[in-house]
Amino acid sequence: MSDDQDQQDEKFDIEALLDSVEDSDGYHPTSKTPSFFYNSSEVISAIKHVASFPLVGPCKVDLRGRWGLQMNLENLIGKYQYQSYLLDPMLEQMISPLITPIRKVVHDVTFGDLKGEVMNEQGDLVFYILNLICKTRGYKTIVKFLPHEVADLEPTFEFLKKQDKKRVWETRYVLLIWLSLMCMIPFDLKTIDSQATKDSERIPLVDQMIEKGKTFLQCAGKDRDGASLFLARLLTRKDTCRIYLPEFVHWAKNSLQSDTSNLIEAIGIMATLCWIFKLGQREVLLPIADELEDLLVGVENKDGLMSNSAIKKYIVKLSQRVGLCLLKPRVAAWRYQRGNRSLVSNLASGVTSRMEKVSMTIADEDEDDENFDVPDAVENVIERLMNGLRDRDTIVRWSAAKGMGRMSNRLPKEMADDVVGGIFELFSEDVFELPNGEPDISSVSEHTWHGACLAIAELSRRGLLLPHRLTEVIPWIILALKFDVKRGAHSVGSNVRDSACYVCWSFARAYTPDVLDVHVRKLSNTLIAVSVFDRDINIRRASSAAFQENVGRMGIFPHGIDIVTVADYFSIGNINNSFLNVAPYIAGFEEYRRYLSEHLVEVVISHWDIAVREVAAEAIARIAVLDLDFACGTIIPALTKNATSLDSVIRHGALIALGRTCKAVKAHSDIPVEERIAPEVLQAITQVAPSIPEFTLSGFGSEHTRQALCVHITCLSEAAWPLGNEAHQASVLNSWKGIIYTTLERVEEPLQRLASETFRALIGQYGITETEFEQCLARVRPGAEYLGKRGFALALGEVDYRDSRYSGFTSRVIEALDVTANHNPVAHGGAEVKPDAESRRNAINSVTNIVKVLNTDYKQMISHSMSNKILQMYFRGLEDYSVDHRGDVGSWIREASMQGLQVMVPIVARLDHHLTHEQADQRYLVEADHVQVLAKLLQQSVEKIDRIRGAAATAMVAILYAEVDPEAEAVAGKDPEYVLRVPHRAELMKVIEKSDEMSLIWLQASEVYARIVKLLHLPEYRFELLLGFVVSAGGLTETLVRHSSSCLTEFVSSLPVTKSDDMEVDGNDNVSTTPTLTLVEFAHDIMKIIDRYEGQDRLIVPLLEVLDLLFESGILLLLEHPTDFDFAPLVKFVRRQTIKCKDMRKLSASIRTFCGLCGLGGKIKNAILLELLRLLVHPFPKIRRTTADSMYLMLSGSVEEPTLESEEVGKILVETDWNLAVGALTPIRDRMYPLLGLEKPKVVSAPVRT
Amino acid sequence: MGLLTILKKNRQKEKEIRLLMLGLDNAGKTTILKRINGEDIDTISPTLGFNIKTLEHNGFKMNIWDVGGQKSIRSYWRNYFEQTDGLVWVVDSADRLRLEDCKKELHELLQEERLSGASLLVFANKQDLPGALTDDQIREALELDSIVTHHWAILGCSAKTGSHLLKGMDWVVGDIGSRIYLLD
Repeated sequence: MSDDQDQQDEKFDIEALLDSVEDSDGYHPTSKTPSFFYNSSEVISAIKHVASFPLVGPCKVDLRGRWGLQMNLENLIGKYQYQSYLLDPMLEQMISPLITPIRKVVHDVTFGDLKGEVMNEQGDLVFYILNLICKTRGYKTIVKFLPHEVADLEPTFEFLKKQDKKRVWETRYVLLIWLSLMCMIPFDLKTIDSQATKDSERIPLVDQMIEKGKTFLQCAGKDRDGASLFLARLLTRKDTCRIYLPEFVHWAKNSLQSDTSNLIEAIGIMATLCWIFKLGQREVLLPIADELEDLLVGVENKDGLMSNSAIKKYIVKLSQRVGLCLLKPRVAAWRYQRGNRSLVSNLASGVTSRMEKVSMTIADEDEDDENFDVPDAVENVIERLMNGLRDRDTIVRWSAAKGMGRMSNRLPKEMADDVVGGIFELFSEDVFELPNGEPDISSVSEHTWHGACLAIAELSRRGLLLPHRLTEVIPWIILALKFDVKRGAHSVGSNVRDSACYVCWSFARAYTPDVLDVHVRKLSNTLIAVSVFDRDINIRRASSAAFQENVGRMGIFPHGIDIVTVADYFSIGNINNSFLNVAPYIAGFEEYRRYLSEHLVEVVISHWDIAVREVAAEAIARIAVLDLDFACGTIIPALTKNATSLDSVIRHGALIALGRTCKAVKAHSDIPVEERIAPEVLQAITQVAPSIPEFTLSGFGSEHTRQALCVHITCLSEAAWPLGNEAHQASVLNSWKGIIYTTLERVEEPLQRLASETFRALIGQYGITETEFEQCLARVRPGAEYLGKRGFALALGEVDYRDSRYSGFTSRVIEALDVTANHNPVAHGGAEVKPDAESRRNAINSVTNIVKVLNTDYKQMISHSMSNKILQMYFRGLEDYSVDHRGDVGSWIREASMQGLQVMVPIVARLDHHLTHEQADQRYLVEADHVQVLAKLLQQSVEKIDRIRGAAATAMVAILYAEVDPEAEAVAGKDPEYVLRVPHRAELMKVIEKSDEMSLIWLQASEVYARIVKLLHLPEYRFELLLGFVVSAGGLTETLVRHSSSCLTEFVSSLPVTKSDDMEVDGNDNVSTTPTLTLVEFAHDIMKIIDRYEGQDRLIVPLLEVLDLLFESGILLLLEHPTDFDFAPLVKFVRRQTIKCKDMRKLSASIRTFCGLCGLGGKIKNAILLELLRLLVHPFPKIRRTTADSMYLMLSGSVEEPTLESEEVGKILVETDWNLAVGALTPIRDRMYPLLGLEKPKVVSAPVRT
Repeated sequence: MGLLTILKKNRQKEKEIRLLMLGLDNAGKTTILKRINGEDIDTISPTLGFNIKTLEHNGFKMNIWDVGGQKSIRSYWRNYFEQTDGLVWVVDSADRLRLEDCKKELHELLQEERLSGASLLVFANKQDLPGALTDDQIREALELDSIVTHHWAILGCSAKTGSHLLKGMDWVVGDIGSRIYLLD
């Protein structure tokens, strides 16, 4: 490790540098990417280490060690997978240490001293690392660094032949690509081959190599790729191609066409042929080109092969290469070129202004290069490529597009133009015309368009798309930029949009500004709209990159610079930022504003993704206010029309957008909107919600419609939108209310919350009648339907009761909500009912909301008894431990209650504080209430659920630190005046600190218990706190139990037994200000819990667990029985728990507690032993076993000297199989009574056991 | 297979290099660019925004981004689609008053993460003017020797006469080439 450290220091460490940069200005782009090979020395030394082991004989490094070395290098080199060119300067130093031992072993085991031996696994590791470098950088680059000596060829081939195919493939792959390099040696192979004979044309070594190579073509792994390359290199040699190449092609054709051809081999053969046509000389290949056409047709007729993407790709690729071979290599003279581009010649010429002469040359058409014949076969090639562009697989299309570019480069102008025309036709495939003359692209294939775009981009990048074609192609590209079609449950077309961005990007590089000038308007508009409004982050980024390239190279895009500066890679990365900040900024430029609005209204607002529609609606509103006349004259009417569409997607987007736009427009308009918007449009807007058909409000998809309607109504209400004359207003409002009420009854919680907010907006603005209010109130009464109860409980809390229209209802609403919040069942209609958990939670939250809104008006509105009712409701809520199939649903109510206290207590206590001492009886909260609040919150703060502890802590901090005057500035040296009057404030504030980090600590079991356990000293809070501790320490969750119980036992063990003990130690008879707990008091508190909660297993089971813990650690045994503490009631309590109990956990905890209690000895022990012996014949075998185990442990751990009897008892306990039937066990058990010195109790009334 | 991958592939295949031409305003960035692009340098007005020019040199395809001397230029090299390989920092050697500004800007620039590792060429431009500082003086004034995070070089030049421009570009292309491309 230290070595590593040294190396790190020596070299320039880019990672460390980046860290310091980030620290300095807080600027965090995405991930860090290295800009050069910074850890080269580390990599090279690791490589040298790997290569230093002997490759023959037993391995020095075991499997684990090899694996470690391998992983280490994979990590080091893997970092460069995406920027592998950075490795280039070091490649030689990386590869030569690896290949040197390989060469040695290859020679040694084939023809050298160690002939017959095999390479060991350390050798495989070396090959593995070589392959790792190949994988990262690409074998084409790596192969250049491998040695290519004549002497290596035969041994390497021999070595390859010996490789077991069961061993790792990396070895074979690396050997094959190495061999492929050796096949390029310029000497005649005949002179190398030791078995060659002069008189034969054939070379035995080559024969063997080809046969061996062919077998590798059947491999499914990467070694097949290596073999393809190896064969291609071998077959395109000058001394082999004449005889062997036609043979191979013939073989390939036969095996591809045979009925037994296998797919893997077919891929291998096709790949080999592709290589051959890439590497071979044109004159060698021309003679076999014809045969290749037959071969391709043959493959195309085999359905089994044509379903494979790799085969299809190779067909396109091979066909293209055959085509290129048929045409003479040339650069199209007719291609479009821009500028003179050599730096040296520019500088050499020195003189200025010669640009115009050389730029934009399209060579004269009458050049003689048009006078050559194009073989007919080329037509087949073009057709095949054209089909490839429409293929289902991306790799096929991409290969075809590149092929199109290369082929066109060699074609005469006329024919190339036909190709371009053919590609254009791909766009119009399956395009229908809409009634308004626009093309309908909903049924076109996204594959075809993607392929066509790629081909266009490839052509224009090479200057093969002549400027006069642009007028035709640009409308298609603009459509492609917006191509987003929903197919079933998902959308297609992101690849089309991406490739259209590529087209635009390549335009920027290919053409001069004046060529594109006429198209700039449309292109820039669309590119910008896609940059900010596309759903996919990659497309937004691609589009903005294309735009940037265009701005930089053309300089003719209006406001290009400003836009590029704002809409950069990062700012548009976040969809919200892109829609809501970047887009409105760009819309600030008049040239783009209307187009962006129109794009939103026409395209984005009806996007299939609901999240996009929602954010687009907000974007429309933000852009609309920039041009109110356009918004009122065009956007709002268009949205109004769409809002009543029958298509639920369009309707959803338009409803939200209409609401938001109306609200924004009204807020920004200095004259009434009636003067801006045509009366019929105003009328139509008010009719939107009422005219929504009934069926869309229920059933599938209705939640979206309702959500949109709620937003719509909320916005219009908040804007106080004019609803026409009184009668009309009434009818609209009625319809709105109907929608709100039915939405409140929905099962979806977000929808209910939304509807309750709409309720607030509506009644705040337009009001409702008393009768209607009564109806709402009736919906939360006991017995009301539960969904409605949930919704209306929420809605009633949204009303502002300071409003004189509703203030009369305040106390009735609170009373009704209090009833709803009660988790104790109440009688209703002859049955016991209780509201469901959601209703209870909503009711409590609503009361909190009401209190929050009232704030300082609380005094006028809420009577003392009502205030107390609210407080008691919260306290009752904290006792809500209801459980249903979803788990601890009561926790929602407890959380809501805590949040309620957090809001209410500071408000009320502040009001109390302003009263003088004489008016103390007018206070809402008495001292005891203050203590109770804190005690109950403390209990929650040590409970099991993290979230609950967090909520409790937040509430405690808010309450404890609430100041009389929250606005007052802190005065140094003077404590602020707090509203909460509680004893021991100083101790509490030490534990419950007010700081941000604290909020995290409360969530962590490891922190919170150790912190809070000290508060057990404070008698005012002890009981509740202890309750909380018991539940956590006796719980089931392992980590929680560990942290809480260790804190508790540690704390209890530090307690003095009685007060006097403590005094003696302190030597101080003054009563100290901080009270301390004694063990006796602690034990009494435990008994208090028992008295109060016996029968509630939620508490009793954990309590038994905790008792067991405390006895086990011996703490409670410090108490003398019965002088310090009378344990008899405790024994009786435990006994009661074991009777008629079927809860396994409770029983076993009771047994363990019994055994703990035995430690007290004397009468108690005897009484307990009787109980335990009874439990030994308990009906549950598991309980019998547990009892036996615990008893044995207890007896053997006893301090008393072992006697013969006790040993005998132990023997019985251990050796008996307690799983036997009770009847058989009873006599065994009975033997123990005398041994333990007990009298067998007489059966008073024989219990009937079955 | 998105635009990003395509561009990356093309970039490597065609041995593309991206150079950023930066410096205070009126340092002569556009003049240098126009000069090496073989354009007319008689009429040059302050650059608002940026120009991209593509040139071939020593087998590399250089995309030179001439960015105006204004401040908010970060977004140009924050484009992740293309990595910046080299920086050409142009200094007006005759403008002694703003050398301090120039130093500050340069050192701030070098802190940019997207530029880390990029080769830095400082052109001490306007050597043809009387009273121009020499490249050694500029090197001292800009505290170039304190730069350890980048390969750098400084060269006096004149966009007007064209002196040393080729030498400078040779250095920067050579340095980038040896750093990220395998020289054949």
